[in-house]
Amino acid sequence: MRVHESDTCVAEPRPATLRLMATDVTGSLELSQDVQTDVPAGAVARSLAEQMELPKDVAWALRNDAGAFLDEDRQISEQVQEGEILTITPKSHLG
Amino acid sequence: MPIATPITAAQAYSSQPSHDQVAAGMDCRAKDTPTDEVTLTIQGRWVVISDLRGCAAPQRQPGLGHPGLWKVVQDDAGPQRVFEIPRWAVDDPATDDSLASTGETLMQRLVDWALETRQGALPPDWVMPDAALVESWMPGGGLTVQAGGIARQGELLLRPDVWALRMPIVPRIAPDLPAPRLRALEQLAAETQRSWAMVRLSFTGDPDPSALVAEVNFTGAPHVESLFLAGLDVLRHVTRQVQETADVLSNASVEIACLAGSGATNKTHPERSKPI
Repeated sequence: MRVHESDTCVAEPRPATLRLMATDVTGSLELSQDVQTDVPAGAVARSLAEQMELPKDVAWALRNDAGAFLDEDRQISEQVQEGEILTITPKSHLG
Repeated sequence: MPIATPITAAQAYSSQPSHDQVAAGMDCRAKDTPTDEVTLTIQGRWVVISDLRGCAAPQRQPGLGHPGLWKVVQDDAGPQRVFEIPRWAVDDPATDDSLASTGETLMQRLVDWALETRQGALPPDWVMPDAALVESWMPGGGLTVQAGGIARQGELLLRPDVWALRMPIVPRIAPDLPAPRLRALEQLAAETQRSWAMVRLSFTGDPDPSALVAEVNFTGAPHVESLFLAGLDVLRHVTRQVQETADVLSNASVEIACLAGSGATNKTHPERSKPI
């Protein structure tokens, strides 16, 4: 019988969080949120849209200060700095 | 109504019980500690192994990293230490390749997994599955859960000492979270653990809790896709069900009158925003 060395009551590292600011395209809605650093940006965009009660039949994305869209499949912390202001924007194709 | 047909552990091991026998239910005694009773019953779609000795020591709540699915649940009969296996995994035709060479049944392997991990040990011949195999089972985005205004990202742990899925239910608990809120979080965790098979919820940090994490621990388990996917499904459902409640309880900027006590407030950070 092998005895497993790691047992109960192990202190685990705290999951990291990141604080970010988010606004809708009109600037009328603002949120300050702590998000898990390893959540994909697409999931963050959807959760922010729900928090802002934006329409659910629209696909939402996040843009950074420079106007660039975040990659929805990459972790939010790879694309955003602490305290950065993001804009939640409908994903749309113009023609 | 669980069925319980007595059978000894020696019978269970020597006669290689068929699924019919398991489906009929069995009571057994651990093979190496004859005074410690272990019962095995069928409850709906689950095979439930109970460690009766654990009833006498309910404080022995397995925490994060404890191999296997053991956990303490509280019901009308008091605390019970249980290990729950999905029955459909027992019937999975695509089972662990190593079974063919040993002649063992999958049910034997699963029971062996439960008995060995009861005290934190592992089955003697168990090896960690290949990462590529486990990752091939994982559906795309399977560890991302978004419900309401909250998103959570889980993790697959495949280290030499642990094979587990984990999901932060509350990624960060403020050190000054009022005690009534912390107790409510503890009750939420206990109730969730009782209601959902396979998963256990644990606070990290010592002595002060710093996060609440849900875990399904496969360490020591046969390499069976349906077992793994059942654990993943449970973890996702649990997260969807409890994360908003847990978020409100852990967010002291949202006052909860029933937790404030007589004339007191439990709102400690009025300026803090709600985490997602």
